[in-house]
Order: sequence, then C-alpha cells, then structure tokens
Amino acid sequence: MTTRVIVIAALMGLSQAVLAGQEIVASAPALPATQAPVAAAETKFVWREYPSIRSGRFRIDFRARFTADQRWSDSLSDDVDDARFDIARRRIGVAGSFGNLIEFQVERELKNDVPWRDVYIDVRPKRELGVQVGKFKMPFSLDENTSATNLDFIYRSLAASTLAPGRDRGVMVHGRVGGRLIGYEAGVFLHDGDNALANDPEEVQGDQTTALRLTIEPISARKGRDDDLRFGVAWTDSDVPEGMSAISGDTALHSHFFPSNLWVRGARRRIGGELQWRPGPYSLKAEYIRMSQQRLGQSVTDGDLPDATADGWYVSGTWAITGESKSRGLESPNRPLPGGGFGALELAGRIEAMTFGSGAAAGEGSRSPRSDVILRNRDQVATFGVNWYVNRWVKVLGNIIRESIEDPARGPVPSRPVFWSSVVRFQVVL
Amino acid sequence: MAALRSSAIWPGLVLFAVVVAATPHVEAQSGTNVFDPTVMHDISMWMNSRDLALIRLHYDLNTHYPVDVETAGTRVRNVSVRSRGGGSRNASKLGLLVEFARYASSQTLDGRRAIVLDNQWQDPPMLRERVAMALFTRMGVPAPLESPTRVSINGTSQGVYSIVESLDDQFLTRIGAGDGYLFEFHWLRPYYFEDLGDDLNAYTPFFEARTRDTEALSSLYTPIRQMIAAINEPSDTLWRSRVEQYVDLPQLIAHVAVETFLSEFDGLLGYAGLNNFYIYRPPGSTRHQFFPWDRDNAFQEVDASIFRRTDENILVRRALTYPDLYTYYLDALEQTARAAAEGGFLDNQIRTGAALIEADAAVDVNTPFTQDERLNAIAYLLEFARRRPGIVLAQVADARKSPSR
Repeated sequence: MTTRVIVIAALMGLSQAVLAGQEIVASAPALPATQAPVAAAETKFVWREYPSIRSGRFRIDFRARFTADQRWSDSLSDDVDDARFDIARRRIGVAGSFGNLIEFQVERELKNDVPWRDVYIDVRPKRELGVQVGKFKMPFSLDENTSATNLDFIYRSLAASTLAPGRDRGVMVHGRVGGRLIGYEAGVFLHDGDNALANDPEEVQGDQTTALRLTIEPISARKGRDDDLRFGVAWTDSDVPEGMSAISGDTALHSHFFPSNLWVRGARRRIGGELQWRPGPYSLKAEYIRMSQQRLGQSVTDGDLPDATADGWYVSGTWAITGESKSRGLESPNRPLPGGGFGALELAGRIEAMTFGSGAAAGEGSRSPRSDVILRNRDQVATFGVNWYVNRWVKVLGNIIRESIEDPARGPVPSRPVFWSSVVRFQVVL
Repeated sequence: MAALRSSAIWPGLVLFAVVVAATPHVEAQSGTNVFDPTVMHDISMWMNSRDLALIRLHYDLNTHYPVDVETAGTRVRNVSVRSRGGGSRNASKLGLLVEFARYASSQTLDGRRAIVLDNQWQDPPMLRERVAMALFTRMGVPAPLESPTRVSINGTSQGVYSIVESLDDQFLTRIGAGDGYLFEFHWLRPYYFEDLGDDLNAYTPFFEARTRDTEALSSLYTPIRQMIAAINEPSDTLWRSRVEQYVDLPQLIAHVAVETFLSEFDGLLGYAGLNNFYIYRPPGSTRHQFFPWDRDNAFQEVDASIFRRTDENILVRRALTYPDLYTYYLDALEQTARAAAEGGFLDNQIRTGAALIEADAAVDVNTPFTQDERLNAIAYLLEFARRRPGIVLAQVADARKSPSR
C-alpha cells in the first residue's frame, strides 16, 4: 500500500511540475546541410496537456490515467483490506489524428482481464458521414459513453454500467445533420458488449448485435451558454444462445443483489432514452434503459417463459460552485492549483434505481432460474458527491452512496436493506 | 439514525452534507400425508430436458435444478432438486433431495420444506430402509418418517422410491426436540471417534451443521470437540462423568441396540467406521443424541453377534465396560427383539410393505437388481423377521452371564 501511495504522489508531483510552465518542446534534429531540403513539415515533441508528437497534419498524443480509490462500506468485509484500497485503473494509450479526416485510438489497461479497451480508427470524410472500425463503445447510453476521466461521479450509474452493452468489436457509421441538430450512430458488432461478458462456462453472451442511437439538440442554433440541450434514443438487438444470462444486478460497489443464473435463449433487446443539459455551471442528466431477454424453451416443460426484464434510470445534477462552464469542461480550471488558485469545485447529486424481474404479471415470484414469474429485486441508490479539479491533470472525487435493496436477503448485507458507502478517488491524467 | 452512526459514512461526511433520499406463505396441500406409509404415493416431476441431461451427466455434483412437482393432484412449482447420496448415487435412478422452499422461502408441500427421494439403489427388496426406520420409531429412537412412492420425470417412470423425511428443524419440531444444533455425519475415512485435536476446522468436514448453520464456528463445534475429547479421556475413573456431560449414553445405547438387532452393516458400528447418523444437541445443553439415517444396509446377517464391532467404536466399547450400561444394552436388545416379534410386527411391516410396492417394483427397470434378486431378498427379510428375535434373545441370555464386556 505504501508503494501505491508513493506512485500516486509521484504522479501528482510530476503533473504539477509540468503545470508550472515547463512546456517541453523538442524539435527533430536538423537535416544535414548536404541533404536536399524536404517539403515535409517539422516533426516536434510537445508537452502541454499531455505528451504529443506533431508533424504537419499528423498528430499523436500519449495518454495515461491512474486512479486510486479508498472505500468504506457497510457492504464490505471488515477483514479484507484490499477491498478498501484499490488502484482502480492504470491505463495507457495513444490517440491521434490526421487532419479532420482520420482519428484513431489505442488504449490498454495495465492489469485487467480484458486489457484492450478502445482500439479503433475513425474516418470522417464529411461531418455528415464517418465510419469507425475496431473495438469501441457501442452507441448506447449517455453515461456509458462518457469518458471515465470526465464522469461526474466515481462510479457510473447502475443502469449504464449493467444494462448498456459497453465495448465490442464492430463497424459503425455516424454523423451529424443540420449542424449539431441531429446526430446518428448505427453499427454492427460481434457480440453485445463487455458489460454482458460471460464469466462462467454456463453463461452466454449475445451474438452479433446491431445498435442505433439518434440524438437531437433542438436549441443548438442559439450558440449560447445553454445551447447544448440534447435528447437521445438508442436501441440494440442481439440473439443470445441457450445458457445462463451473464448479466447480474450489482450494487454500486459491485456486490450482487440479483444473480446471473437465469436460463435464457433468444432475442436480447435494449432501449434507452437520455437527456443532457449543461447551462453554465450547471448540468442535468437523465437516462432510462430497459433490457428484455427472451427465454425460449426454458421452462421445466421445455416451453417458453415470459421475458426476463431489467429496468434502470437515473437523474443527476451538478453545480460548479467556482463558476466554470460545465459544457466546456471543468478539466481546465480557471484558477488551477498551483497557479494562483484553488482549482474548480463542483457539487453533484444522483438518484437512481435498477430493477430485475420478468414480464409475467400474475403469480408469486420465485428465485428459480426457470421461473415464469421472476422474484424481482431492486436497488435504489442516492449518491452525493463533491469533485475537486485541482488542475488539468489531477482530480479528487468524493462520493457518499446510500443504497436500499428491496430484498436484502439477496444483497450484500442480508440483515440490512439500507447500507452506506463512501469512496474517495484520486485521479491523475496525462 | 443508526445507519448514520456507521463508521462507513464519516469519511464522506467530511466532504459534504448528506441529504437522505426516501424508500412485500404458500403451502401446497396434496390432500394426503406424503409420509403415510400405508399408501403407495405418486410423485411426478417436470424438468427441462437440458437440466435432466445435466443432472444425469453430473450426478456426482450437488448442483440444484428447478422442477415442478405434482403429487395427489397438487402441483408445486419452482421446486429445487439435486442429486444426493453416497454410494447410492448414479445416473440412471437418481437419488434426489427435493427442496420446496429453496427458490420461494415460504413454499412447502404438506408443511414440509424438503423431502428426500431415496432411490433404494442398495436395497434389493426396496424395503430395508422403511422397515428398519419403523423399528427404530417403535423403540422410541427418533427416526425419519418414510413412505413408498413411484416417481416419474417428464412422464417417464423412474421406479420405486422411498419418501424420506429430511432431518432438519422441522424434524426436530415434530419429535419435540426444540430448536437446537443438528449435525449430519459425513463418512470421509474409517473413523471411530478418535481425538481430532483442538482445531475446530478438523470437525467441520465430519459434522455438517443442518440447523443454526450461520452461528459462529465456536458455538457450533466446541461442544463436539469437547465430546470427542471426553470420549478419548484416558482415565477410566473420569471417563463416565466426562462423557455423560456430552453424550446421552442411554439414548446412544438404545440406538446401538436397535441397529445391532437389525444387523446394520453401515451405521454407528459400521464396517468402515462411523456412518449414517445425525447428532443433535438441544439448545442450552452440551449433551448429544444420535439419530439414524440411511438403513439400506440393514438386515445383513440373521445370526450376527450382538457384540459385532462393538470393540471398534471407542465410545461404545468404553461405555459397555460399565456394568449398568452393559445391562442397559442387553435390556434394550431384548426389548427390541421382543417388540420386533410381538404381534408379528417385523413380519407385517415386510409383508404389507412388499404388497404395497409389488406392482411397481415388478416393472422397475431402473433398479440394479433383477426380479429374482428382489423376490429372494424379500424372502430373506421374512426369514430374518422369523429367526432374528430368537437368535438375539439367546445371545442376550448368554451375555447376561458376564457382568460387562
């Protein structure tokens, strides 16, 4: 643990040193005078927000993100120290572009069962049409598609982290029409994302998945501080082979409150609706996601069962009390520390719920993996947070989380339906 | 407000103020008592074909599978079954633990949360288990209720089974034993109550808690550790007083007497050490009682000695060195022999039991025994019922000539 603290401290120190004005620019060696002059642009190494190599229209940025969490929770075992302190992310990558035509990104988790994260190339000949190929997040869910670096809370909403598909390999067309008025993303992917990844030989993941997302920004033409009001709808469809659903209901700190042992087969469909508005220092976000899963031939008599369903929603809001514009991002505070100020300070709040059950309305619920009426369970969560953007590299987040499990017998603290957790995250981004 | 005093909250309270956000008995009655031993019951199960293939493939695992169960016109949905048994486990005639309340905690059948379907894989006449338990009960030794049944899965007959009462808190309530600590003994190796040491973890594999299993290891197993330490007390002078703190010796001896009369091959005096029993400790007590389980291997030898293997089990060997306990053992054997013979009790149990299952047993294609083997086994049981009481009484009379073992 001491080593972890030293690593974090060293990274914070490095970032502050860079902030103190030590912009590093290293030009490529001058060509020998005997060589013919080349029309190519000068290649140079630049370190402003992050290390970068630039050559004419070509640019490649080197990125790294380190986070460490300290957790306290009624749902964690007192004798498990590792559960309390966790270096949650150690991520490195490169991102680059060639003018406005091509963008690419390669990102890898240093220690993870699924190390490769975004690995894609995005070709955008026109604003109205782009094609993205590789491994990347499916176009579903505002929260899931928000970069981990820019989240308003330490953990994504339950709905996004559980019911949205997440990353997968595929191809997607996307673009914007009418300025920013209408946006579209439509793709085909090999499976239905790493949030639905099977962890057990009996568990199954969706096969080829199609995804579609449409967004509309109705007041984008006003060009004001409150012009980014956005509504969106999204949909995914995939076919799941026979097996146990790999999707479990997890609490904020990743303890099960609904198991992943339901037998399923057939179509898995997700629908989602989202809202985002960031006027000035404020922001408002809301989402609703519903996932339905067919259970063809899964009854004890080999007949069909009613669909298994899961619903999740959240409403969240933030207020940058130091006045920064939310839509422009708080990552670069007006008065960073050091640099004459204290950084940016933001308050955040979120309420949410996620419910697992079945489409059958009548009859008594059961925990049987082949029950027609699934005994539902629900987690209601309220999260209160404060975010301190120290400077463009360092961010400290603190969250208090109150969870209420409808059937606590299936939750992490069977004797208590309500439990609390606190988490502090230190984040360094290069 | 109690939650607010939790230590988990205070670190976060340093960061900001808290705003607190605001926030539901199914009993199936079959119409008959599933343990009525005078009725040939009928249990039908429906199981997804994939699950049926899996449970046959992995019959050696304790994986739970969902089924619907129907008996006497009552269908109970979302029931759990799993393969069970030791040497009787097999893929073709599955031994099954049926749990009505596993997936719906308040669900029961005739008030029972669980029953065992004994496949009688080691019981050629398909009668030993039920007849043996009937004699235990007649002699006042608490034993599971049993009744015969035919079982079908997905419309296909599985053959003749015994419905056996699950030994759990409901069993304890039925026999009026209170809500104490019940443990199932698991055979892991030949074991005769040798001292296992001070580490309580050494006892858990042998004695699985069936009630109060969420309590601390120390409250569950310290009295068992103390019981076994007392059984191994080196001083004969201290042995009796120490062991009586932890073992209901008269109850144990009555149990062993019935088992010995029945010429049990695999019980407390089993051929490979202790096997097939539960121990029970009432609440607030340290004294343990012994309950019989799985009597498929009873009725082995009609002329078996009443002292067969009594010198292997440390507890029984040392108990029988005390003249009063020795006499108690002989008295219990004599009472058992007389009760078995009285009014043709044992003979009637065998004849009525055989008649009840005859039609179904004759067409049970899943039993590992041929029809000739089954009929010969029934004939042998009848011979046992006729001859065993006299043989035991003669041995008892002979044994009374000695004051102790």
